[in-house]
Parts: sequence; C-alpha cells; structure tokens
Amino acid sequence: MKKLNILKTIVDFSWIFLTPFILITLLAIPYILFVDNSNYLDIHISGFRIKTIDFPTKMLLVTKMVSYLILIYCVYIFGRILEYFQRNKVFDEFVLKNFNKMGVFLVVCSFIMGIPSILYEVFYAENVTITFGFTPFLLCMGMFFMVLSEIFKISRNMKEENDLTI
Amino acid sequence: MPIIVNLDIMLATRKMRSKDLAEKIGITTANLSILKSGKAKAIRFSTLEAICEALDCQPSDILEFSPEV
Repeated sequence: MKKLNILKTIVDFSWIFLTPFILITLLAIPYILFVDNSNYLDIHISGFRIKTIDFPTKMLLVTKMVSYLILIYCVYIFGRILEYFQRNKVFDEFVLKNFNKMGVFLVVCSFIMGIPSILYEVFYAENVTITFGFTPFLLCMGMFFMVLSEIFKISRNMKEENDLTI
Repeated sequence: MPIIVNLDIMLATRKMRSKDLAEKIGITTANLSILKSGKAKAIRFSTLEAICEALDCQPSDILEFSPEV
C-alpha cells in the first residue's frame, strides 16, 4: 500500500497544480472566441505559427482547451478512485463506473485533440506530418481504462461468488 | 435459483438451533444464515459432509431441485 500512497500523493499534487489552469482556460475560451487578438498572441499549432486568427483557428484552439479540461477532469476522477482504493473499497460500484468514464473521456479527448490538428495542418500548413504523438497514447490509455473496468466487473462477480461459497 | 435448501425443516425436525449447528460444523452463524436463506452461490463438499454428519441425514434431505416456472 506504500506505492498506492505515493501514487495518490503524486495525483493529488498534479490536481492542485492543474486547478489554476482550469480557471485560466475557462477565461481564455471566451477571450479567444470574442476578442480580436491576432496581434497579441504568438500561437504555434503542430509547429506551425498562426498568423491570422480566423474562425476555424479559434475553434481549433477552443477544442484543444476543452480537451485539456477533460484531461484535468480525468486526473480528478483518478484521484477519487485512488481514494476508494485507500479505503479498501476496490470493487465498489463507483470505481467500476469511473474507470469506464475515464476511459470514454480519454478516447473522446484523443479524437478532439487529434482530428482538428490534422485538419488544420491539411488546410493551413499544407504539409501533413504523421507522428506517433500524444493522441494515440491517449487513445490507448482510454481503451485500457475501459478494459480495466470490464476486468474489475468480472473480478467483482468472482469475489461475490467466492464470498457466497459456504 | 432452482436449488432449494431445506435446512430449516431439518433443524426443526431435530429441534436444533442454528447457532448449535453452526458451532458443530465450524462455520459462522452469518454463513449458515446465508445458506438457509438460499443466498449462497455454492456449498463445499466438506460443509455438506459436516451438516449431514451433524444432522444425521443425506445430502438429498438438505438440497432439493425444483425447476423454475
């Protein structure tokens, strides 16, 4: 359980450090959408410097920010799950549901992070670079958590059966 | 479940309390209660053997199959 405590501490610290970012992102989204900020910001997407901030660029920036918010929420869910592990409630319904929820969010996140970036590269940067970056990793992580949820469901049934064998 | 546990009847006919049977066969009263209420998913041969020995009966006296309608 020492490892669990270390992991919980790391996740809690990450959550604390990410909390201000939530506020910044929530303030930045309306700023990007409604304020003409093409002269003030020096933004790079996929290594390509944005010169003009038009509607598709704004949408890309907003989707990126939303995906980061989802990632932060996943960190929060993971922290809560670890809290249940610390209380020895490993097979609780909360754990099962939230592992699946985390998986779904990570998969969604990988798509809303990856697809707009590729589209932007195709239409604006005019060169597409295929790299094994962060998004396939997120997709794999998401699928892993969904599988983990299923495995936990099977394990819970086996535990119940074992407990009810007299 | 189509398997019915007739432990209640066997205990009543032998005028034995659940607590005494649990003590005799070496399981907790909570587990015996699970068995009596039909919530148990499985029963070990060793437990069945101990119950049969304590109640002086056959496994068929305790367990009964009744197909679900």
